[in-house]
Amino acid sequence: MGVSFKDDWILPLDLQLFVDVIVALGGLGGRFDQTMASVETLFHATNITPSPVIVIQECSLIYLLQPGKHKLHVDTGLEGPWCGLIPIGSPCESVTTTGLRWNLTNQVLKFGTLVSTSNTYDDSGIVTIETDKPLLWTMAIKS
Amino acid sequence: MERAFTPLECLLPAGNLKFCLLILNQPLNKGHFHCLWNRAALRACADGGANHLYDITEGSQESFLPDYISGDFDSIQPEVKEYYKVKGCELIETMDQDLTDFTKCLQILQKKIEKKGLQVDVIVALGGLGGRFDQTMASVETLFHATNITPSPVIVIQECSLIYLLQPGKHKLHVDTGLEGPWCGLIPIGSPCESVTTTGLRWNLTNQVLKFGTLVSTSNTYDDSGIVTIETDKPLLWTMAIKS
Repeated sequence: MGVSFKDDWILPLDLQLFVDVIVALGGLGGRFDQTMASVETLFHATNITPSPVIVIQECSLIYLLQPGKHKLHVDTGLEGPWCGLIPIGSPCESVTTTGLRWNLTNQVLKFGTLVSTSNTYDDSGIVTIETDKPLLWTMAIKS
Repeated sequence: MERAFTPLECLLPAGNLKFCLLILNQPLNKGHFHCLWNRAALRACADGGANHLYDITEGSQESFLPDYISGDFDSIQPEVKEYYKVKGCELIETMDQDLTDFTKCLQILQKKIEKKGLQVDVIVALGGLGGRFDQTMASVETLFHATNITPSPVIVIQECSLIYLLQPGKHKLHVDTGLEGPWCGLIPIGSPCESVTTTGLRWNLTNQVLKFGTLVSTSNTYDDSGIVTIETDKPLLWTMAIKS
């Protein structure tokens, strides 16, 4: 069966999980410090798991984009009317997007300069984001 | 030079604090609202904040008229806008898409403060921290812009949370009003802080780095001194609980 108690602990194949995403429910309301603690966990998550981690509460979702290129499919029919890109933690020197109502082209996102909130989608159903630093994606969930 | 401040002084039932009130587009807490409305020198709504004001004062809206409502008016309900217009409230349309309604409302407020020659100890924004996550972040963004808009400290309050942006330098916060709740925190939200030193907290910092992915101070609390001092090299967001 593949299970050994002595040296190597070997899981039988039918007990291994293949995980596309980890969903955390409830990290975004109430205490402001706890909302920030949820964001902090997303920063640590890259070192904890290879699976994407999202946090959902009521009508909001957050997901931390690592540096590089991302393609988000936003055509499930469950997308609400707003979305945003938040340079939490440090400024992003160069962000480029497609698929948003107000796109960015090699722009700086930085608290005190520009933060993308109350953004929305064009009709393509796809948002692409390229960023040089970790960047927090946030979007509405239809109620 | 140390900046001294008592974050929850505006919620005390009595006192000589001079402050202005901005109502933002998020659900309003009745307790905070009534305490703040009565004693504010100027009162304004940012766009959809007028909807919440209208709802929370149901039956007696006439006794709670803001000095002005500003924004791009994409959130305010037409009947609410019409009501306040008929009652003589100033409606100021602001179309700049790069600035939040809150930021634009603050700019207008500062102009009115200067025009009237008012002395203002603090500007209190009610409602910027719940509901939509992007709007919570927009409130934080406005605090960054606030230093260039007004010399008065700006705080944002919703339900049991308060946030206040500490500029680089030394700060002394009085946390002995009796209204302080059990938690507090220091959030390096815009960029890492290379050196933060505190006193008065349960878990103090000494020349420490605060940075997302490294260390963020949440679920902190107070010692018995009633005073928290913070020295920071970069803007740092202070957050604290308000007793319910």
